[in-house]
Amino acid sequence: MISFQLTDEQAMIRDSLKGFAAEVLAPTARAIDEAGEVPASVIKAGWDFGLLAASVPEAYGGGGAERSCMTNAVALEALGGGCASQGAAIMAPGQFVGALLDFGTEDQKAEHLPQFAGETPVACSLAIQESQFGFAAENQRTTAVRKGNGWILNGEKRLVPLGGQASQFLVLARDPESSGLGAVSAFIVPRDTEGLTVTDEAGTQGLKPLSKARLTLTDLALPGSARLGGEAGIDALRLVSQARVGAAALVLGLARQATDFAIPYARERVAFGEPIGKKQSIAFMLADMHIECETMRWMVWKAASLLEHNDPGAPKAAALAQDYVRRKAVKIADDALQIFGGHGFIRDLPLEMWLRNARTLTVLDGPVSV
Amino acid sequence: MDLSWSDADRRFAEEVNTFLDTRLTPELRSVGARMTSVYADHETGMTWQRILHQQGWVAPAWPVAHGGCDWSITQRYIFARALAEAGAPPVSPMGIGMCGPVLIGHGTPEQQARFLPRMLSGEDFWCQGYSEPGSGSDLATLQMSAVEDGDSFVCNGHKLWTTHANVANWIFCLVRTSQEDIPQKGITFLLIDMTTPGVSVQPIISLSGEHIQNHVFFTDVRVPRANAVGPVGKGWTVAKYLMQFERGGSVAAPGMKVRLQRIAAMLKAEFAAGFGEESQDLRSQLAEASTRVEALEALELRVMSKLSGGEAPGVESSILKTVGTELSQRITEIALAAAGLYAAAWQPHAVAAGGPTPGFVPPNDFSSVGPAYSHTVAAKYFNDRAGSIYAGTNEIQRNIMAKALLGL
Repeated sequence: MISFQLTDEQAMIRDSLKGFAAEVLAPTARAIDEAGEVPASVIKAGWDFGLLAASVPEAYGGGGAERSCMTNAVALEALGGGCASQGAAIMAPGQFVGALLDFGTEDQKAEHLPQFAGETPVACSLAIQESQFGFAAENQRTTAVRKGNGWILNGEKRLVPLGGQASQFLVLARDPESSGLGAVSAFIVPRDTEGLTVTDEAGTQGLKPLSKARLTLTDLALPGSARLGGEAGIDALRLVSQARVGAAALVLGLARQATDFAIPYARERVAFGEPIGKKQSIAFMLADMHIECETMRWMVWKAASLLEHNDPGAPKAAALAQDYVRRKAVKIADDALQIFGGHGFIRDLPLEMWLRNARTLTVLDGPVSV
Repeated sequence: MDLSWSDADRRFAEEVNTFLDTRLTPELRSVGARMTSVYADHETGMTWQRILHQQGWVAPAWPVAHGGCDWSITQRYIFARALAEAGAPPVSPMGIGMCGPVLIGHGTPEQQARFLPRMLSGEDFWCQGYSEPGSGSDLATLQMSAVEDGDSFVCNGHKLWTTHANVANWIFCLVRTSQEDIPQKGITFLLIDMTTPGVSVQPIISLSGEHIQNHVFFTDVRVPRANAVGPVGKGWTVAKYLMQFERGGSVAAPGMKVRLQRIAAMLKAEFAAGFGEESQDLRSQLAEASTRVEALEALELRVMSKLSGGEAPGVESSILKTVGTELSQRITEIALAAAGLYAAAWQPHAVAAGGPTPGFVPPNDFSSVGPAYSHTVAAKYFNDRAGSIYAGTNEIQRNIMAKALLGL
């Protein structure tokens, strides 16, 4: 029978992360946005929930929990409901771990997974984004060419999350002789690899505290073992779909947060003799925001569930969820700002920050994954 | 019905374009093209104002007797359209566009003689003190008090969203001089010297990071009684007169056409570089917006025609405000989609911001991300969110339309 019920464990994770988001992330979001940096203490506090460690198999020192796209979607929405920037910083290493779990060879898992089972946060991330106009993950311009037993990578990655701290990157690159995601491989690239230049990209409109970097790969030589999945490679469509759903879940949390923030204000703010929430122009706007939050959640959950069950319809569901959430989350952030009038436009309240963050999340293909 | 311009109108347009060809410098055009706000920065705006003043064209709507042009509504439309098409930076509207007409309509001869010449020359730079915390669109609930004391009013209160208060030396305010049975009564229109003891200004940083608006606090500020415009307690009548100018005939469509042309050029450049995967969708969005701009222009011309016939703009002001601001926002969204990843960058050093951006540190080499045409896109998008909020939110405008136009 079809069930929309979360498992007890997922509900517990959601509730505890919602509490963390409300009590720790949201109150500090503005100050952290102004400072432009997520404190290490926040990363550590997020790490201590043990989400990554739990997903690492027992053989590598982890909790051995089942890898779950649904659980990740629930977690991302909860964190996004506190602060999308901090949520992204906390969850970005999950992209690396998830890809290792899904596609890594036993040797790669043995080498890289144990570090994520420890108590010290590890920074690493997935490098998908490129700068060309009309970028889509399917059209990677970064290339990977076989040379002997190894690989030579050339290209440029942009706005790579945790770029400032990451010790390793998982870089997507394409076989120049072929096209589409079928030609895309992922490579584990240590930060100190010769041929890799990491440049800080701090000046973004939104997600300001999330460290982002430009990776320039110039005749970057890697051993054959650096290719994730070895000779089998990866299912890049699945990897990209996970990133799309992850970003959608995060911004969904932001949209829910903006909606929940606007409702009490509409009850309290009096104009022309009554609360503005009594006026249909505002009440209907809020009702639409609520409808869209619910709709977005079911689209995100559907895509996450299909990914979890390796359903062939998962990539399409992921693309639909991403497209729908991109449009609606920005509209919701904008409408929440509109309800607050001029107060939404300035920095005294978080509305303007949420709109900047929502807009930025919609131009990135995947700062997080499910 | 006749939509053709008269020979006199065409000759006037030629005269304006000749002036712009010679006096609108490449530097000013460059700022106009890179603006992120509806306002140019103060220095640029004043530079252009002085050039217009030298030409005698800085106040198209004012009577010649007060230093204006006394142009017809049609001439003003042609002039404003030519400025927009040429990419001229706008002159701040608060003095010449708002307070000036009020002084001409309601001020005493002494007030007119004292304030109008300095307003034209830019020696006095004005800001508007209307909104307060809790009194924005519902302006009549304003609470800033002005208590008569001899030949003065003693003012206390807090004005909000005050554009350019950080550079203005005069402010025109609506203040409460008495509590009456309805909120619109007991309000007075008052001119206040910003250098008076007790006036303080604090910045408001907007969504795009720019400092254009301000808080203005008044603590026991003494204002000469002679600075009241119109009868004491009748300021709402004066304010309504001013709001007709603020919401009256507008000339937004020509500038939007220029913006759409810029987006089209941006897409052409990207397509030429071999990137065009999403071209059909963006082309459709551009075409739809262009169609809506044509409709807006028809609406603007209709209002211009109505005003030319001596009629009040009426509810069309609300229609123009709503359609114009929402279409402008739509154009910013298309530009954002067209700029793609470049729109993620925050780089005030690469644009002509409407004001300073506190806390922003430009890169050492002043380098920027993306091609030049993409630099203004994000800030313009964020700034334009204010369009559906200022001058009466679009929800308020729709209420006005529902009541006044549809009888609901």
